Amino acid sequence: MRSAGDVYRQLAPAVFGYLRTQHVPDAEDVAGEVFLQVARDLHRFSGDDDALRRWVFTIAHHRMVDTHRRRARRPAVADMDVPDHAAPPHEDPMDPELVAALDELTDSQREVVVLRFVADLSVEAVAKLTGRTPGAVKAMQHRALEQLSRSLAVSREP
Amino acid sequence: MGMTEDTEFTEVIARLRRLGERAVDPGVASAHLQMMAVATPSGVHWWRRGSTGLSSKMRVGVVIVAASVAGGTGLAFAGGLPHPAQQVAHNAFSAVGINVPQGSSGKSQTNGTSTESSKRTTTSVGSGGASSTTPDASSSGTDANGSTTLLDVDGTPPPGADAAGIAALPSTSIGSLPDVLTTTTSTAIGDVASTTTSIGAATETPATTTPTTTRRGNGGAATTTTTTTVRTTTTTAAANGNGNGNGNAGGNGNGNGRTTTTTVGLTASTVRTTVTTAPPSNNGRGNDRSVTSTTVVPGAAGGESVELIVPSPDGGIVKVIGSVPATTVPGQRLQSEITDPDAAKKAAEAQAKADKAAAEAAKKAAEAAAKEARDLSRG
Repeated sequence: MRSAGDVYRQLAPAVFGYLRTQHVPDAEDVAGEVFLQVARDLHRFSGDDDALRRWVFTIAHHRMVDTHRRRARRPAVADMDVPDHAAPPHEDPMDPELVAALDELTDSQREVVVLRFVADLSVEAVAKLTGRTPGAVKAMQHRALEQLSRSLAVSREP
Repeated sequence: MGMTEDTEFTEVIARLRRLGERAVDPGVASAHLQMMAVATPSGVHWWRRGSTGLSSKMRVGVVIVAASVAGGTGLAFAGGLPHPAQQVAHNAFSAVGINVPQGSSGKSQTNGTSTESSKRTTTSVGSGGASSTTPDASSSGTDANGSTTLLDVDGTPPPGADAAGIAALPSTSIGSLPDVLTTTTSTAIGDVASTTTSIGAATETPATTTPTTTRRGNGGAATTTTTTTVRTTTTTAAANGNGNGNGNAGGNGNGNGRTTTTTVGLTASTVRTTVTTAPPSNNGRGNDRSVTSTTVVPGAAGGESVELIVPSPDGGIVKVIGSVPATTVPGQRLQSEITDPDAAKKAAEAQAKADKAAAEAAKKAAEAAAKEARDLSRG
């Protein structure tokens, strides 16, 4: 019997990576909502680790979509003064080069490669989650990897 | 494609995977874990389990069945179930010591101090025995052949109960008019001595040797209170005499005459029992569904036996022997247990029929519940 804490320790890094690469605002808060739902509903879940991963990332995907949709409806309004100084860099920055390369992909391509390799889901699971056929996912993944390779290679050139 | 990609984009894929392996900030992780601990259900209820619990269909079915059982139990206690089902409920509950009204096709009527209807459990018919003195014996009258039932209270065999002797008792009077009430009293089994009391002149005699009190109310219901210290059988009949009986001693007509009562004490102590019958019907179809109530009145001695001759559901006569419970409670109803072989056989047949009907009813109810559950689940 899994505990919610075990699930968090096992999948939280991947969920954070997924949300950040998807440019979800307040990724930490959204991740908290995801695992809150996991904690509430874990007793109703049954399945192996792969099924658990699919279930958690399905929740994360829906939360990500909701957040983007909510943000699109109600743009955030800054009601405070703009700080004079820039914020210090993040203590644990993600791979900025790779993140920049991901930003060059289309939203669909980025979503597929992130779900495939950051969330470590299978082609079938990604296809089901994104509403595409497995063949379409494979093709999209291939084009995304090609694009990433090109972008990273270019960034390495002096 | 997968293997090709793995080799072709190994570095890219490895970097992508590392994005999902970065440790979460400890402060953020701690906050999340605390929040999750609060949100985690402390106990998982059985009805909220997933695949290991009941499905939604099963839950609906369980709710329906539970409601049916609760409703059926309430109806059983209220005596509102159909006759076969009520009979089954009576038998089931009586096995665990719970008193539930027995199934009855007739209406219970009480009068005087009677409070409950008696249980008409036997329909076996014996020989008519000696005829009692009846003014209009030539006309057809009540179903005279008596059935015998041993009334066994609290599971104690009645002392001195003699089924064969009781079966030979005279048990009927035939053909009297509706407004005529005849009381026949025998002082010993097989020995018939008769007394006649006219209706309308209610008399009351203190208990001495064989005093008998017969009262007739305006509504036509006859109430007979007998107090006795010897083995006595008292039969009271009021018949409207329009059956087609052949005038034999036992009388096998189908008239709707009415026979009630009696109290017999097998010991020297006083046993008082009140027996009440419903008013006679005059439709001549033999459908007099009079009901007899037997109630232990204050002063009855515990452990004493009583013998009753009461109308059977089909218009015949049922002889009942029972003992007053060792701990008598005023108003307590005597329960019966069939010991007569014929009566037991017929009762078993009736019981089997009732059980079958009840089973069919239960089956139909279950099918209806299942159908409703399916409909709900589809909805």
